[in-house]
Amino acid sequence: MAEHIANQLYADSSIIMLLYDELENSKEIRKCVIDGVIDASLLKPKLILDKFQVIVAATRAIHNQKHEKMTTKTIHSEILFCLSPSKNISDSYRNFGLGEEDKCILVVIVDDQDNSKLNALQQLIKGRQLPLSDLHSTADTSAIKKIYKIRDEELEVCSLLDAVVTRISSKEIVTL
Amino acid sequence: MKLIKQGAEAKIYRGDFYGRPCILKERFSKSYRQPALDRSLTAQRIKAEVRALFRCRLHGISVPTVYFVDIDSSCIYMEDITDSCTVREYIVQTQKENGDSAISQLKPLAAKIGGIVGKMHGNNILHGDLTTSNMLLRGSPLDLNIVMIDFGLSYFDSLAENKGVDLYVLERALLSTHPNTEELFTTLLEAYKQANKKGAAEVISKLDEVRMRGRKRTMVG
Amino acid sequence: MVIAIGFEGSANKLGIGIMKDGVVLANPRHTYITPPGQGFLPRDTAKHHQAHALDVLQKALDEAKIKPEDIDVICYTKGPGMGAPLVSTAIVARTVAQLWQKPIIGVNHCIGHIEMGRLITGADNPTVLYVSGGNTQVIAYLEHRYRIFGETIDIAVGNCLDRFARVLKLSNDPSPGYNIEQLAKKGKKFLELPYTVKGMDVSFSGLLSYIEEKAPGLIESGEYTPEDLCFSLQETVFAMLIEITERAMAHCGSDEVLIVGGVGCNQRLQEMMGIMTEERGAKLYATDDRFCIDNGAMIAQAGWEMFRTGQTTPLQETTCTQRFRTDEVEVTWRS
Repeated sequence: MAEHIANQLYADSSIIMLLYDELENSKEIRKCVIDGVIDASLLKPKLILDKFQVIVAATRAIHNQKHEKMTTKTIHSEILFCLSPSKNISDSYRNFGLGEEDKCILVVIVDDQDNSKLNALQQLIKGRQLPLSDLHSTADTSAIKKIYKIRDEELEVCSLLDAVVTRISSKEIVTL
Repeated sequence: MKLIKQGAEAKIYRGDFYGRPCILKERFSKSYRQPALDRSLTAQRIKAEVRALFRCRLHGISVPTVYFVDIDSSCIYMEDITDSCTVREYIVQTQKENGDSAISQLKPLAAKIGGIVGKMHGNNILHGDLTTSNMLLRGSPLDLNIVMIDFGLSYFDSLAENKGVDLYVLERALLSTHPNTEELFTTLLEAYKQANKKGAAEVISKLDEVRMRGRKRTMVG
Repeated sequence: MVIAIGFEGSANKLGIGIMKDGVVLANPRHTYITPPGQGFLPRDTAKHHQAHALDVLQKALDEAKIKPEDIDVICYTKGPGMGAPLVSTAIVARTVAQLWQKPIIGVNHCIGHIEMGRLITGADNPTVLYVSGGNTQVIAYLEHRYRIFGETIDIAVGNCLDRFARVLKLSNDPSPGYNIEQLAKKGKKFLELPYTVKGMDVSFSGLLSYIEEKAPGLIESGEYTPEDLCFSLQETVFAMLIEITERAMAHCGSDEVLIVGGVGCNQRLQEMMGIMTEERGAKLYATDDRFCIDNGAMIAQAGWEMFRTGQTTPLQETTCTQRFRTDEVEVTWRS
């Protein structure tokens, strides 16, 4: 149920996404990433409405990587940063990154051509894998509206996902 | 991505962005400009467009969603509003098919446009290039589901004078493209007043001034 | 066979020209040139026109080798332009019309430029960029009118250039614009200036205030030479003009551009416009300084067109008007 998504703008790049709930070892997984043992983005599904939201953030992040313009140190932290409306890196980790007590996780792995990282993660994660389409049910729409500062006036002319996506794609240009 | 249009400033391609219909607007350099000016203008316009699209949405004005921006290549990937036609096409067709009764048929559309521009100006958003080609009608034209596009010349300002000029540009674009539509502009202005209650009076007085300027300027040479 | 004589004096150029069925028989001109740093004022300009009218008229008749009896119609610039100079020229036209017992026609100055431009270049249905000291318009012909698609919302581009020339105290001989052009050719360093395009219109007053204010300081500090500033000013204002011309072309689906008016003589403008038209696969038409700059023959040519389609102006209506929009005239001579 892991989804492989090829990058439309950079032919040599792709991402893999995995969704789990009933997570037992979030603390352990986090430590692996912090220690550099695992190379992946660990996201809070609560703030992810749809895989397209991640795709747009990843597109931005990978573009920054290719042009050596990343704000953060790795491509995986860059995705977190691009998802976040804040220009503050720690805020983006805190709000969008997997928390120690979280029971759900969305994993994003960039450029894992031989699936080595994917396999390692699937071994590590103790939880129930879900299809990405379930993101809609794990998402907390009021938390999303709050963090992206989306008001009802805006939602009269577009969907919540559209509003979120615009913020992600326009972040560098618009001062929020 | 398929090239569908080449305007004066940009190439428009149609394609797909991870399953969603997408338009790629690629601004190209103009060789007649000094390179420094060209780079500066192009970057300015892309940013202006992205900012305006964002701000319009915030205030409940329908515009395409932005998917990806690449300033270095002067590209914007945005939502393709499929199943739409431009307001220009619709007015031309209506006038062609219905001759004399076209004007009264088009009044609700004019009012809707006036309302949208009024809302934009009320929020200090100036489109900068209001023409009937920069407004889309989504779905059935009778639904009056208008989507505003092409914000490259836009800027944010509170001066009534600039809003007056914005309306003047629209008036002239309307009248030069669609002859005999003066009544439609009147309807548009009425709706504008309703949507921009606070500032409309001053803006319209500035509009009158700009209109007269064209007529009263001493032409020498 | 129709011979038309045209009287032009809306600004500081006094021109009297004679046309015979599309052939220029004579086109003498005398320009009122003021000292450097000064513009020309209506009253002095009118005096200049009065003083030179008869000489220029004689010169025209001699060059054309015709006698007053040969003339079929008297044409004069009704407007737009400066009041006193317009009237001083119109008086001469009215006088000779009555003296020689000929019909008279009031002509729109801008249309004079357009019709002469079309005649000389052979352009069929071009988008016209009309740029001079007093005018900046993008014009296209549609249903019996020369419609204004884009224009300046404040000052004309020529006015902007002329006023900057005054700041630099450039000579007004042969014209301030010409001298800016010569200096600009030697400019190298580009200064970014305010660039203002609003829809299909342009605005120069902000740019002018900016450069008027900054210039003395920049020159004194040695950061930019007067040549650099002239260069930067031209590159910016011309880019603006080309942008609105291109947008009008895209809007109208046109593939021809005709530049008319005094600023149209500028070779850099023509060069830049040429680059734009080439990239679009369009054609550029321009005239030289005989016809770009205000002249009498253009008035005769436009008048000839009007006369051919049966128009004349009753003597009581041979007034002048400072404000006369290009789109006010019904173009009866084109389909």
